[in-house]
Amino acid sequence: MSDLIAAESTFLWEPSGGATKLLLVDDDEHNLLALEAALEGIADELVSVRSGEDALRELLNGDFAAILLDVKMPGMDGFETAELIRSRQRSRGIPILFLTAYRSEAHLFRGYDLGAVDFLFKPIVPEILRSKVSAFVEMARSADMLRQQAATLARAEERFRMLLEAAPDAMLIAREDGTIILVNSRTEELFLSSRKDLLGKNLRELIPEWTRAGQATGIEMRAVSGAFREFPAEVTSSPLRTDDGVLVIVVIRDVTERRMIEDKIRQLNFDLEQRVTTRTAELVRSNGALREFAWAASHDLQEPLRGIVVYSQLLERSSDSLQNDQKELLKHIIDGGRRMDRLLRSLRQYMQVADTKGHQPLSTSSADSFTLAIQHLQPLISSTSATIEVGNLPKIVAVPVLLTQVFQNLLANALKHRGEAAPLIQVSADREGDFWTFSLKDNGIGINPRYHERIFGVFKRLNHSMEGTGIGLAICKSAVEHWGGRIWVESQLGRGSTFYFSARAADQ
Amino acid sequence: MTGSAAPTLVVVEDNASDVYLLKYTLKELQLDCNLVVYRDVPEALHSLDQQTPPVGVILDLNLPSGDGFQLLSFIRESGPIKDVPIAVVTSSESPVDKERCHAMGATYYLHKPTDLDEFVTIIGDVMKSILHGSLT
Repeated sequence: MSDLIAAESTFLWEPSGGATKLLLVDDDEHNLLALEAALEGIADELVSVRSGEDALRELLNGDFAAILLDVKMPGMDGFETAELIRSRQRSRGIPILFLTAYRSEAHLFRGYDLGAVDFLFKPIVPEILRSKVSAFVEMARSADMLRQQAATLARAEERFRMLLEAAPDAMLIAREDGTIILVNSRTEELFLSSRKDLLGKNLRELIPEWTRAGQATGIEMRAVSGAFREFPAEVTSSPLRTDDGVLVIVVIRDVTERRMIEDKIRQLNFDLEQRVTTRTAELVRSNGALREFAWAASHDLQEPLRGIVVYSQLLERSSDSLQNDQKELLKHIIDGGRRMDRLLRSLRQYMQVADTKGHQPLSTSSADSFTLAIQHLQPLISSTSATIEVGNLPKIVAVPVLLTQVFQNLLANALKHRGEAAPLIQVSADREGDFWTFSLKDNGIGINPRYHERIFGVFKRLNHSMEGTGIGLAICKSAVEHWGGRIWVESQLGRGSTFYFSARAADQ
Repeated sequence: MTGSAAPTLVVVEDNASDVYLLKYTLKELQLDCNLVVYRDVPEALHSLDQQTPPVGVILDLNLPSGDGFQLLSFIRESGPIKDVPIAVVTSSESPVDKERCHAMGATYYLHKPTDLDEFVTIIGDVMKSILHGSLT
């Protein structure tokens, strides 16, 4: 509001737009000329007329700062003219100065009665005339200025009111104690009350939580509208220091809709989370069921398989009457059975690693695990005349039994997939930040890069002429990921392979 | 009972082919014993008290009408044969089962091999030591 007035106020003190005019009335042309000469430059315009009738006619055309009126005129005299001037609404306020040669008291009283503000006695003294008339000219100018200021103020107030009325929020002005002194139409709508009822009420009747005329920005409060409706409102208030004391401007926004949308979003989020939780639980259940099924199936298949293999062997040995080709057929049955036996075993082994609930990662000596793996593989190492070079191996966060398994599987792979030359396997560990990265580099047949991802899957054998079940690397991946590490390979066909896996260092 | 009488070995096993394999093993290794076979838990519970005390028990875990653990605790907790060696021979690979059997007093815990020669060697060794132990 104050800004609006300030913007207007730059125009307030400019000179009046309307010209100040003086009306000179005298039947004697000489007198008129003398008056005009004496008043030269005092007003913007001097209008001279020779009779009361002419004066009244001029007064219809415009405002005058003052009228100099000769008393003694033929026809309508000065007093009669003044009476008519006073009787007209439009000219009632214009100051009249009588020009007269008579100084009788009766004469003066009649003049003052008719609204004269002063008398000028003939012969006119130009200095006195000028000073008296200029006072009225100044008064007229001030009055004009005041009128314009009032108009400007009225315009500013009108704009303020329009703005206030058009505002989408309830806007109120209250005294420091909360007494409401101004509201806009949105306030009426929001609080289902007329302006008349709202003015004079206390803000606390609308917003019970409102406490004082302090600064607040978008505080959410409960608003009470009538006896039956309460709604959430966002209240912004700021104090306004005026000459009449502290006022507070309060803006109240109904946030019912926003709150409803927020609630809806919250509800939707909650539902979504519920569904995710339910779905996850279902997945965990079905995963568990699948695991149990796979375990049971692999276990139950083992029994009849054992029968097939062992009884084929019994048959093979029990009779000398078997033909050679029959023995050959039996051998195929037995080989097939043994391969299936290995598959079932490694599948169970993989599931045991995957089911790692019992294996909390802890500080583990990778050197110890490595030594154990070497011991398990000693027969294969000897039979392949392999050389294994190993650097310093650190303490890491892992599961000891799984780490041994990882080393064992990676070493066994390197030994199995050897090239022409005797296997050479170089094992080392490098620190990178909080992690150690182990590398096992071999001089074997290498792996085509297009298979580098696939080999870590279950039952992914690339070379079917090799023995093995294709589950060793899947076990490694499962194990390494269990302690938060990563496993990958870098290799080219014919140029050996380097397997890497990582684990968190145990010293931090 | 004469000194020359063959020792009795109790087998609790429902799988006929495994029973056959046990007999085959005894024959292969020329071990002389009287093999008494029970096919389920109730039969074993009922008969164990009423016959010549065996020198040892070979026990499967997965049995109809009850399980090997039940029988294991029955033998270990009561009766005249509570101190005989018991070999649990099973297809279970569960480390939990293995630990539980040892905790309940099983003398041996053996996984049934899927190879005739391994079967004869591994199971045969255990039967030998049970039978020979009975002679000393």
